[in-house]
Amino acid sequence: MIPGYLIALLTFPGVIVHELAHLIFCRLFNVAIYKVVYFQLGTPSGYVEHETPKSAWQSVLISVGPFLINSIVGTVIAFPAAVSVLHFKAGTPLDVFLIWLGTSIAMHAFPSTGDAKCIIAALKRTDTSLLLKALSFPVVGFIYLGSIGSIFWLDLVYGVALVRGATYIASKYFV
Amino acid sequence: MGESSDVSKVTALHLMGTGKATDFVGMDHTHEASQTRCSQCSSPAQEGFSTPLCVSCRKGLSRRPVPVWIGGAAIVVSALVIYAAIAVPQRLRDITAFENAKSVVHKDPSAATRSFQELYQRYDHSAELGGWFGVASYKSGDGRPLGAFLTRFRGTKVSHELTVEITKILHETDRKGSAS
Repeated sequence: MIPGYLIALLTFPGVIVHELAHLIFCRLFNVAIYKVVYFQLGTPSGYVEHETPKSAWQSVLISVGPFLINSIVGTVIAFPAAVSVLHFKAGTPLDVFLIWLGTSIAMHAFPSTGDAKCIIAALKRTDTSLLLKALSFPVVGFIYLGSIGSIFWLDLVYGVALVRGATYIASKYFV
Repeated sequence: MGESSDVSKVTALHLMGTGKATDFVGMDHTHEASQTRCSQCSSPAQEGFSTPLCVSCRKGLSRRPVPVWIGGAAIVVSALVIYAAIAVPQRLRDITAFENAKSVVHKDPSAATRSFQELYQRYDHSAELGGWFGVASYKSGDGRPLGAFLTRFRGTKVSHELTVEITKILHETDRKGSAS
């Protein structure tokens, strides 16, 4: 089995983008940030420590922000290169680099169990609406499933599937 | 994987793990202070937050500076996102042109040849496009591109669909050769 720190090292851009996504959402909601570790060779490979946001919605969005940003950024970066490599089988070194970068970013889209705990804390707040609770409950479940699945490389599978899926959908539905 | 020491009270901790590691021991960042005074500068604290911070201290903390190397990396990634986003429409057009050309290679080989040639000029190291350009050209009456493809990309793996087309042509030329 490949050690976690090695995977983090090989895909470090994804970790940095993940933490930056938390940071962006904290800035967006004017939430005080106490400490940021963008990347380290340890556990966890990165984290953002911030105050409890004003509303539960903000807590949830700060937690799931990386899922949105990493998925979109990873797919956009890798898509043109994936078309060259997968569709036309004509990859240049730049294409290979872009696919690695895009996949690395996309595979770190999954929120961690630490993120899930933040969502759970937000859901326990008395001012949290029923709608948010109903929407967030399955999200927490998916995060824990993703965490279990990462033992079986689900995060990598997700990253590759996003990149491959984008080219497949493009060739299937845009033509 | 991750936990914080006092999440509901003052802080939240967003951890990025690999999912393959042991639990992170939470950090004790309980920024305790008076409920009405800012914990940083003792000015009146902003209401509505569980952490006592004034407006300017909260703003300062929420906009904490990003290290130069992270800023540089973010600029590079942003530039790549822009480059890729600009390339997306062209790549979509290329996929469309490729699929359309494949679908008319038997009905209108001249049109298919033009499309494949245009694409092949853009992806000149693509065996797949070289092969399809060769097939379409052969069907239009010019066997040279196919010959060039077979010489240049000898031993290169191409799609099953293209392999079938080339095999048919090779059988056809064999038959013609033995008949003459």
